[in-house]
Amino acid sequence: MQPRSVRRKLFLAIFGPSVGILLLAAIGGLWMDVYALRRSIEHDARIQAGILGLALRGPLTVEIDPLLNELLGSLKGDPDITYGVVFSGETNRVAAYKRDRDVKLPDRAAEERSEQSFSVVHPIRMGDERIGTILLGVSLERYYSRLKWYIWAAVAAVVVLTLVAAWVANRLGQGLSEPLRQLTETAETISTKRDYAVRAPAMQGAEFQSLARAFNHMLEEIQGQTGALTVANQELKRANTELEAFTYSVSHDLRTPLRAISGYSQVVRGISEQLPEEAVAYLERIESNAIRMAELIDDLLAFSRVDACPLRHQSVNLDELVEEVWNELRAQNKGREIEFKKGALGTVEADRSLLRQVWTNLLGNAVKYTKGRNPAKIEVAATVARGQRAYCVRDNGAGFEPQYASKLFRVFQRLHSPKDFDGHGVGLAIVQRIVARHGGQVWAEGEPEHGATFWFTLGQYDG
Amino acid sequence: MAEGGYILLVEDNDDDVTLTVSALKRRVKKRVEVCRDGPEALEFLAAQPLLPGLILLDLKLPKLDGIEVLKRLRAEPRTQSVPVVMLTSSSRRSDMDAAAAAGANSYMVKAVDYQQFTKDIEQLATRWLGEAGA
Repeated sequence: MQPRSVRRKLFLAIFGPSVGILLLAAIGGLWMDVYALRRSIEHDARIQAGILGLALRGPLTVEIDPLLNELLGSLKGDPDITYGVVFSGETNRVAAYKRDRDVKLPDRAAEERSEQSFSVVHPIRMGDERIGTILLGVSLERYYSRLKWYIWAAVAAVVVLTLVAAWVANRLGQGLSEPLRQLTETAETISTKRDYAVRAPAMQGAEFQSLARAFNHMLEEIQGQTGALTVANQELKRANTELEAFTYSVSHDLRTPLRAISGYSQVVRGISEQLPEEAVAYLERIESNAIRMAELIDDLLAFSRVDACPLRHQSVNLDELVEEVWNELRAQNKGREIEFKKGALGTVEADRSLLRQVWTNLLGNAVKYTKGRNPAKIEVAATVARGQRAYCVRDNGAGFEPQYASKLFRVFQRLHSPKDFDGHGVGLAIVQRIVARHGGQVWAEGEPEHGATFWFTLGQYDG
Repeated sequence: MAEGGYILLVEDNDDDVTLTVSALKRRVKKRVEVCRDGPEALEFLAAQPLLPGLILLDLKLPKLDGIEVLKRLRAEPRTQSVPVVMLTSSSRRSDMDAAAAAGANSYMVKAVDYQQFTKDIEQLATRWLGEAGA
């Protein structure tokens, strides 16, 4: 259900009670007035009957009928009275007055009441003796016509006042909701166009003016900060582009002299067949160092690239990914006998290509450091460690001294000599960077000659 | 000498020139002409009655860079179908794409290991000139 607008609520809140009170007043007033009118008609009739009774006393005693009729004829002056009858006993009519000819006179001196009329009875006394009765018939016609007029006037007043109340309520509602509508419009313009230079218009009413001021002040802040952010973002993009150009030219320009070093020493070896054995060995060392340095440059660039690209999160099936990585490693190490076990790993939300790098480096290390083990054993599993879902790679290889475990993940830090195991100490540093970028942790346990276990978590991104 | 009887190397670095020529001499029995930058190479080709069988074009050159030189070669009817292999020190996806788009026939990353480098050069020559020794 759509919520009612503030304007509508305000309108109802103002209009509803006003019209309610108005109706109550009209109905109450009408009722009071009409009731009083009816009372006064009856009261008047009784007074007239009383006065007439006194006046009729003499003529009735001496039985002067023409005078009785004349006196009754004075009732003509009251338009409400339709007839007047004087009875000498219960039923003996001695004189009568009729406003119209077709008025039917009653036979008995008794009060009657109907919708259209009523009658009043008044005894005529001489001393203590009742000598007759006067009966006056009163028509309610005039009362009803007046009642009708009253109702019309009340309805007209209610209608007019209702319209006035509606207009006032509407104006008040508008006065309150219009500034809100303007503010909403401004906010919508800003959010759709992202134009923080827009300002709320001037509004009426002190509260709305301070609201508009606060709103505009907030917009100024946002505009300032957005500007600063845009500048910072451009700076960052420029820095990134520069960094990329820099690493490219580093890799390009450092390789050229290395190729010259490697090339010339080989050429020298080729030129002279009579070089002393020692000189040949040194030339070979020069060549292998040049090649090694080129590899270090590649690794360093690979390491720097881990931070350069934005993470692209997607659902990654780890079982598939690990199988894929393992099959590649297996193909590269065909001569080796390796027992590989993998538990169910499930699916995670992560950057697939970076995660692939993590598994390639960890499994690659496991293969590398189990060189000479027969059979080599490598195990991959998902587990819970440090209160989180963790993945581990365990091997039965060369292991390491536990006190240096933290050094494993630093760039160019190695716990084994390149003589025993080749490598430059970048693989685990890359693993550490990738895992950290996913909000996770990586750590290792090991014993010299008793294998190593590497764990990593993927923090908040783990499914 | 017939058309395609020699190799044109466009390379600005002295050591790369020496070592590339040395590798080509050892493995490929073809005359090697060397130009040190793009304009020189374009002038040289315009002046030669015969075109080379293969152009080895370094990507990073002073004055005009390798891609620009390649575009000009492809724009000129006389040189538009001469095999061109781009040489570079570092593999960068965008460079490879740019070279392919400009009409390079192939792309070679110059290995630091000179042994590897000579093998790669020999392979290229065999592919684009027929049997290396021919």
